[in-house]
Amino acid sequence: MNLALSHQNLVEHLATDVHDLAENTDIRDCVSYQLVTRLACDAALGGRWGDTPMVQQPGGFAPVAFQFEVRLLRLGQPGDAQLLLSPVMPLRP
Amino acid sequence: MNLDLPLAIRAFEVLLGWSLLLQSAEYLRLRSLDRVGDWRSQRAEVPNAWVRQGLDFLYRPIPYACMLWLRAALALVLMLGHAGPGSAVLLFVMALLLLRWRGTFNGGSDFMTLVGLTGLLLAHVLGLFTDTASAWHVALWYVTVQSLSSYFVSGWVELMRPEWRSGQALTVFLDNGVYGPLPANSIYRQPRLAMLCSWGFTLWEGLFPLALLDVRLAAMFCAIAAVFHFLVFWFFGLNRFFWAWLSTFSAILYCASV
Repeated sequence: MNLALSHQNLVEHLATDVHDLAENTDIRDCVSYQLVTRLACDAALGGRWGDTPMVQQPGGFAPVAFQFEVRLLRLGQPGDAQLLLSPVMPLRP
Repeated sequence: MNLDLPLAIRAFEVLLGWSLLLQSAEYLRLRSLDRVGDWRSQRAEVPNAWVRQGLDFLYRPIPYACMLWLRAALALVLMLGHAGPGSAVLLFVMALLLLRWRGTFNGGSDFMTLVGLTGLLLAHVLGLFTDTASAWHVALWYVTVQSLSSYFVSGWVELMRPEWRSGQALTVFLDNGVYGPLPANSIYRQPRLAMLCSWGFTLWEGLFPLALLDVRLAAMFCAIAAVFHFLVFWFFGLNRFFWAWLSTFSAILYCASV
């Protein structure tokens, strides 16, 4: 699970980069975005943290594309804020 | 009940060495497990071309594996009590490994490992200019101040945050455990109990510097800390935190003894 925490740090890093993004800058150029894209791809391909699957997937189908979203949840406050929604990307195992 | 200097040094070396050994083994295993960390992307974050080229070489599969095996070997040497200034410098420099993880692999545990390595480096470098006992005395105080500060700051940050004071954050925190979210009827979902636990941890962390008043008090604070870190290990699988902080306890007990 140390790896899971490392991945969580990575997503938090991306959230910070989105927040601090300068005008006329593309988030896709950020290393954190590229690494989180790899993380989402790995999750869609059935990646695991030890015995724990990264995402619960119903069996019997093979995903062909993936998309990820970064949301900010605030404790004690209703609702959440969408920070980022990636485009739909084809899966390349 | 006092911890004398030779015993404190030995305990510190064994525990720090063990912590480094486990981390090295984990890094070795991660080479095949992690499909996210990609140096070809990460290298863009290193602004200096010379440094980038140096790291390009170090993070190639064979040099990287050699560095990890060397780190593991040095950790064993440290555990056996044979580490000299050269080993201390090498272990400290190999904190470079963390660049591979964009500065930190596991947040606080990496910081505390770095504190231990800095203490080791201090002891050996100062030992070249003064007597060994004085050098280790300074090093163990350095480790103690850093370790106590980590609890103190954490406790006071929690005290300032309403979600920790209400206990709400504790439930959310526990919902992210290895074994999945807490059951719907878990006792930790009871607001009063969650608030009580939350305040218990907050006060214990915030009052940790009082450990320096008496070695028995230090032993009690460290024992609770060991249980706390073990629970984090058990529920969240974060073994690094347990060993990284445990390696600082001999320094705290020594400083509380003098």
